[in-house]
Amino acid sequence: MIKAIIAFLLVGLLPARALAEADLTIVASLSTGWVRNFNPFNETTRLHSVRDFVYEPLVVFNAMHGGTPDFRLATDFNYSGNLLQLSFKLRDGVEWSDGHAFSARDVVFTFNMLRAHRELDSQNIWDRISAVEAPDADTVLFTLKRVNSNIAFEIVRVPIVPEHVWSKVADPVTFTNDNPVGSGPMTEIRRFTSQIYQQCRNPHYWDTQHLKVDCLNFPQVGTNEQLLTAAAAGTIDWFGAFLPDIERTYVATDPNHHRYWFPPGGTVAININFDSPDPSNRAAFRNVNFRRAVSMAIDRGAIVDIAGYGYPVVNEYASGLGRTYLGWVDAEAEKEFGAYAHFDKDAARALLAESGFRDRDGRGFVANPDGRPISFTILAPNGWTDWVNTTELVAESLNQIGIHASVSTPEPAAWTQKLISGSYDMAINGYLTGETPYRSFDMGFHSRFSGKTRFAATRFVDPELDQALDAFISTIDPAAQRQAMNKVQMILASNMPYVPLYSNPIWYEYSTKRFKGWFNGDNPVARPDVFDGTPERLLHLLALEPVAP
Amino acid sequence: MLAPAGPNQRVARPHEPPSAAHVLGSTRMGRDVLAQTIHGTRTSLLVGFVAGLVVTAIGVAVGVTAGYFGGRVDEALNLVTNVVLVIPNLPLMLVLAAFAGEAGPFTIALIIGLTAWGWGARVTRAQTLTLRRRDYILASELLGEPAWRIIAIELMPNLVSIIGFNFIGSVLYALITEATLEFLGLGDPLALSWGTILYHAQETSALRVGAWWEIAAPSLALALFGSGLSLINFAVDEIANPRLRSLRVPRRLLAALMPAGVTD
Amino acid sequence: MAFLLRRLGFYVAAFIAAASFNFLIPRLMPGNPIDTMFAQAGTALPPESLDALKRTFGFLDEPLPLQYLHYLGSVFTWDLGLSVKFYPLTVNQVLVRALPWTLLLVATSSLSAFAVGSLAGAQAAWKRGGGFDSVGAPAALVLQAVPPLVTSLLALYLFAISLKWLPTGFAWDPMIDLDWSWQSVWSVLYHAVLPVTTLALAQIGGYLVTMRNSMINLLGEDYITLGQAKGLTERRLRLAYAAYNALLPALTSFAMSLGAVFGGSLVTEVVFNYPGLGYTLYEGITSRDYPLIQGQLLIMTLAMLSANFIADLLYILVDPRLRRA
Repeated sequence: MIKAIIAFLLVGLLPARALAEADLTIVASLSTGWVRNFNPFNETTRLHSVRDFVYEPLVVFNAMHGGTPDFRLATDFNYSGNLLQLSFKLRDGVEWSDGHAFSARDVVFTFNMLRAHRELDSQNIWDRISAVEAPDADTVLFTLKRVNSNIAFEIVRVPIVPEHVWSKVADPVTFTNDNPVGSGPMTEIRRFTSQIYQQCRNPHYWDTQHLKVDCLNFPQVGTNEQLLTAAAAGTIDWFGAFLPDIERTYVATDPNHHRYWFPPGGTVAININFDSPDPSNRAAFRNVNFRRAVSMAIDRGAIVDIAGYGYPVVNEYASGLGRTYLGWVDAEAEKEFGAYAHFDKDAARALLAESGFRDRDGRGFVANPDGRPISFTILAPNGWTDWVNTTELVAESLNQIGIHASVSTPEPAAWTQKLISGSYDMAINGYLTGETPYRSFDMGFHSRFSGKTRFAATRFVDPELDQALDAFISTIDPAAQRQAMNKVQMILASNMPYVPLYSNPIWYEYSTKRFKGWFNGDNPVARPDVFDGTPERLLHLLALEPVAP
Repeated sequence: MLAPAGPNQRVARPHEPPSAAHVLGSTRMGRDVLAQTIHGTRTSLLVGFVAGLVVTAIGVAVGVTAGYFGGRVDEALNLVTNVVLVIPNLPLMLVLAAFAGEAGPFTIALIIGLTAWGWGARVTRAQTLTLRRRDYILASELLGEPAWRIIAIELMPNLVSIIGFNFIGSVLYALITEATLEFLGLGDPLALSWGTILYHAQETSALRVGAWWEIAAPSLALALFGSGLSLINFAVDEIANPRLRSLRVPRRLLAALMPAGVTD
Repeated sequence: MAFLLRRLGFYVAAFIAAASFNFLIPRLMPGNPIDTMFAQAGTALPPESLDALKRTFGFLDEPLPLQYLHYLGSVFTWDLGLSVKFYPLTVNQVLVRALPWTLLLVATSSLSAFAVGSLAGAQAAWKRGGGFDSVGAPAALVLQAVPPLVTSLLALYLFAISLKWLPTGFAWDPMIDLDWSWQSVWSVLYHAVLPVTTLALAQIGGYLVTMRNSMINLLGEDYITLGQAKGLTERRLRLAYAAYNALLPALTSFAMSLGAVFGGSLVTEVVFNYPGLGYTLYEGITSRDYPLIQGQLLIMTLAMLSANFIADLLYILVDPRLRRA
């Protein structure tokens, strides 16, 4: 009781908050305390509002709509006849936030800086380009090492910084860029404490007619639980989080304004290690019928429902393509092999028996046709609750058809390490999305990545698949591209090197209380999330406007 | 045996409230909370007792050795004990558990046992020191009895109550610490104990979605068991020493609590 | 004085031992912060860039003994290097940022628990077997046996989430700039209510029982009886004679329990999103930020040592025998 009285007294004494009307409050990343670092090239500790909001991309390719370009600092781009050069035409009259003119020299400077400091080149772009030039102030010309019709998507992911500022920076790797000079809509850091920072409008922004937001507030939020608390209280306008039972925990706290939209994103799959360190497991894993049985044993609907709270969309494509890329589906591959990506416990059992995987010692678990036992753990990164729960359900399904599998939850770093080094049997894994399905297939299955990143963890290698993937980017002819992509899907569907489960949702929640114009199911302009790595968030920001008071 | 179903079987819809079929409701994964709590009890108590045993064993070994033999041995052991005492326990255990990775219940018991023995060692040493100067010990020494015999026959019986006190306290401490480590996500989430039930409940926002039963059962178990142990210790103190109302027990406590330099 | 010098020698030895231990832990275990960070970010940085980054953060491969020497040097100059998680802040800056908040929590909760617990314990002992003693003492024990984890969760849910009386997180209102104005001070107090209370609750029981038991012990002593015979007032007898002397063990347990309070503070800070040392340590652990973890353990050890030292000094004040020793 006394505590209550004190609490009321304290509340009364606190000042009323006076928020400016066009302040948009965002949580783009979790943090235990903000640290000033606006260096857009810092992969580990940069603030997640630097890219896109401080440094505007040349072009934003809309991944939700097949990569259609939305021209920003550039107004056009063209491949040369032999596809070995790519030129960008820059927009006239663009200025940096300190009033200096933006020109092709800034772009050339930025790329050359990445060449000099490879640790800044997080995409390893210089692996694919050989030179950057500025034939005139409005044109940038990239020379490619080999034909690559995908390179435009990758080039625009490099943030462009002003030469007149960064040329004076002694060490761009450790530079923290406290007061960024940028080309994007939100460049002025008005306030910065460890608990909140405020990023306000660029006085020299070129597209100011679309910019209706004055400032972005970034409150510090440490955990998902705290994010939920703040969001339920209505203090956050735009965020993305896995919220359990969202209708109840978030929407119901302000049914008129709290909204969410979870369009399908990257594929989540069970990786089966072709080079498993255990010889008898490896023998089973290399048998396509074993992999198909695993796939058919899994009740994807139940996983989505229980582990995913119904948010993800099941991925029942044998190629693992997913609903994210509906327009690219190869009907033939799915017709022929689609059944293997659908839940059918009896068929799974039958396929195992047919292929010689039988229970030989009466313990209820199948062994290899040659009698060697099969037993393995499926790895899931500790703390990624929905994935851990998913993996538990997968193991449960496998046990039901007589495959001896259990779950293990190493720390995320250890999980990554094991996927890269190949010292695992099975693991849950997720794939990135891109403008086309190429990015996730290429990173997952091209032999040049095998053993190098966690995405290429299955170690399934097929020269024909490499060829098909390479063919996809060696042309800009849509028909030829489709043909190559169909080939990729056919190879994946027939070999089933991984077991697709569902398309991970794109996490996006918003409040219509203070702003309107939000992307959603009725207004599906682009990927709606606010995370670093989704350049479309710039388009989203420019689509918002304050609700009339 | 009491558990109604396998603790990891999915037997219900996610987050079903308590009902006749599931007396304490179900978890997000549709598992029976009662079954989980009962099976979790096994792990939690085992960790508590194993860690308590390790703590007591090390504490007694170090304390008695230091107190009985004195001199250099005492100085060295006393330094080690004091170092263990000044490194903050829980943070240290967090670090160890994190670096061990997927710390299962046994690892956690071991980590607790190896880091938390300082207090027990200090208490035992202090008591040994006072006993050491009693006439009957001195007499045995003069009679040429071997050290092990004096320790085992003459000393130990008089240390029993303080060892018991230390043991019960350590079990309580280990129970709480294990739950905390696991709640913070530093244990193996697949090992079933009160701590991991709380961890999963927190991870699935059980309280937010109104599934209080998922938090209530393990919390209550922890609180009840902890209070029980604590009260046992209190009662032992009050009753087992007929002169509780008199001087012996408190003076022993007092001696035990004195810093190293004061009692010798 | 000799007593003090011996203690000081011990403190230096203990600190070096703790620091060395601190050096070994992360190096014996697998994993490094850069890999962890990338695992969580989910980006596909090529190995070449990753190696370049590791060099930037100073994760060099040099022989262990050499690393140890460098490390000891950095400990004594208190130059703990860069934090990985909070880059570009140095470990020192991160610690300085977090330390005041933890001190606030630990000091306020410990002192108030000590005061309340000791007074109540003295009261219980004086009226031994009375109503307060038979209910209060066991109740305090029960309170003490409930993990801070459970109390924090319960308090958060009850007072912050359901009733909305108190804030669910932060050390002060993020919308105001912190200074010494009334507004700031109120804001800090308002945000500290829940964490401090839950922390204090966990400690009261221990002090109560310690004080009660040592009081009961002393009440039987001859000088108290003598005092009674001399006709001293009960109040004077209780405070100046019995309680004063019973404080000694209470003081020790106060210094000794600081480690536990740091631990409890960690849980409380995590639950209440309170930006203190505990929370920072937790973050450091989950991101394998060795430099930060080492700095954290060092500073906590230092705090423990200082508390023990202060307890030593107080002993000398309270117990005149030690002045001659």
